[in-house]
Amino acid sequence: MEYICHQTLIQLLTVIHMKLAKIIIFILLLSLSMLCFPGEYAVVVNKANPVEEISAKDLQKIFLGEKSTWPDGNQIKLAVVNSGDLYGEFARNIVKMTAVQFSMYWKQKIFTGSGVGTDIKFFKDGGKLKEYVAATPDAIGYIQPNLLDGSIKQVKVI
Amino acid sequence: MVSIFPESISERIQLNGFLSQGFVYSTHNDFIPQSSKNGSFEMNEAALAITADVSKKLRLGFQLLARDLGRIGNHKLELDWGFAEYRFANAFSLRIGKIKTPFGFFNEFRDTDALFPMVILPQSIYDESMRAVFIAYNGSAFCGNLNLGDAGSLNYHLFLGGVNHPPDAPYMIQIYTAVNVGLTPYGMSISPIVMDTQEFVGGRVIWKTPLPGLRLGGSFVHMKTKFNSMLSIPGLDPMKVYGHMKIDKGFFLSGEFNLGNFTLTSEYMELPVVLSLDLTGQEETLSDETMQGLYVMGSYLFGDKVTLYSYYDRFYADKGDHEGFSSVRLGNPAYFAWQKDFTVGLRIDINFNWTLKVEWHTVDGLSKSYVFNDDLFNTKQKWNIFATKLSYNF
Repeated sequence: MEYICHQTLIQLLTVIHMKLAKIIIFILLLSLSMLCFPGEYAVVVNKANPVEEISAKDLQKIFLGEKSTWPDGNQIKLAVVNSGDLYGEFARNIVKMTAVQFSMYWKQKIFTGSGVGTDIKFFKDGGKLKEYVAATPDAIGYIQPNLLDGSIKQVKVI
Repeated sequence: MVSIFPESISERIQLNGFLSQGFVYSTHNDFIPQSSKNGSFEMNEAALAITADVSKKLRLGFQLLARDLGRIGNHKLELDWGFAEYRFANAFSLRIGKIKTPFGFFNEFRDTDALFPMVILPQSIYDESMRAVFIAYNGSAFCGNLNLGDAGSLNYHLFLGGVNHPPDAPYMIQIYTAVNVGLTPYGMSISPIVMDTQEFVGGRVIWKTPLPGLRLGGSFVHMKTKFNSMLSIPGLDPMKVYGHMKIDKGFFLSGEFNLGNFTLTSEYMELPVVLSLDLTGQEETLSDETMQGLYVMGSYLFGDKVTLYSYYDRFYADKGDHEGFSSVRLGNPAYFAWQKDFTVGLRIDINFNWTLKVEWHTVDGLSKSYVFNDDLFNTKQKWNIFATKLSYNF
């Protein structure tokens, strides 16, 4: 009887360990997928903008408002898609924040006045953002790659 | 982006706003009046912010705010901030007007619910009773962002100005009470006080370190405030008396480390406050205490909508008297000298515009909240707070 109980306990512990191991592996894989893999987005500017490529570091500074002018001195106009997977992927890969943190970062600036001096507009989808960038000479934003067309210019992120 | 202006103007003007409604229920003691009876909905805010480009370097902006927290605010519309900023370069801007005071990580946006994880900010640092002192100043500031190359970047904000002291501010009542407690043994008393800030200087630096996710901050403050009141002495006509409240070498230290979905935040504060009264042409010190606050908070984001957070918050009214001996000497319970708060909560970002939060506090002590309790003889040392809030912003 004691032997059966002992065996049952061992089996139970084994099952618990297996389940725990699976959960830990799942969390690790989830974390890795969040941290390492590049997202599906294209950084775009107005066709008249001479900029062809931007370093990932400069792009981060631009979308955090720490770099606010183009090389010609004109003020950068930020265009941000603020919903869906595109938002989360861009926030994680370029700004190095979660989508919630990125939202809070800009709302803090807006509602304290510390964002005075920064031009930022939010869009619910890439289509509207593309129209804005196409019509605004100093704008920069990001869209899903399948939305790329001749109305805007893709910038290479190096 | 919402715009009520014609297209040509709307390109230069941004309109944003927020609205939030909370509910608080507490056990034994009030966090806000009546919260320990049936709970209270008197915790809400609404604001509208308008900013405009005047030129490439000059911007104007202001925000109107109406709020209610128990007896404070009562939906009176006020200018929350409003200033002109001239940007000489990324590293250097000049601001003039009414400007949010930069203390710690959260002070500037403490009324905007969507901008921090919790419903009730750690009271050791973001004390509701002292809010009016630290919320905004009228004056000028130098601020900017310095690129330090491989060493990261440094955001700074240095200011000089004055402060409005609304008569319903809890610290005005606290000072009035403290002075009267000091005068009672001599059979004297004063009427409610009127305050005028003579000096208010301070600043904050936040260093975004080269280590990804780590930022460190430091804030400092110096304030000299003059107050006056009518002194009543038995057998004599009431006479005008003057006093001072000085905050000298106050500082806040802040640190935050973010790794993936996990964020660890901690802040520490020391605020030396000296209260004095000029009765005979000489300043008599009534109290000289250093407030001390500390909190540590951890938060984890599950998916992209749900954040679980918890913080431990500890406040002492006097750094040199953690046991509350001076409170006992004044006839109060020792637990009026501290407040320790362990909180667990959940924040749900429903979408970019809507946020819902719910949290539970286990509290020991009443140092930060006794001004909201009318019957101080019926308070308890151990109590709880349940708070929830729904907010919308655009």
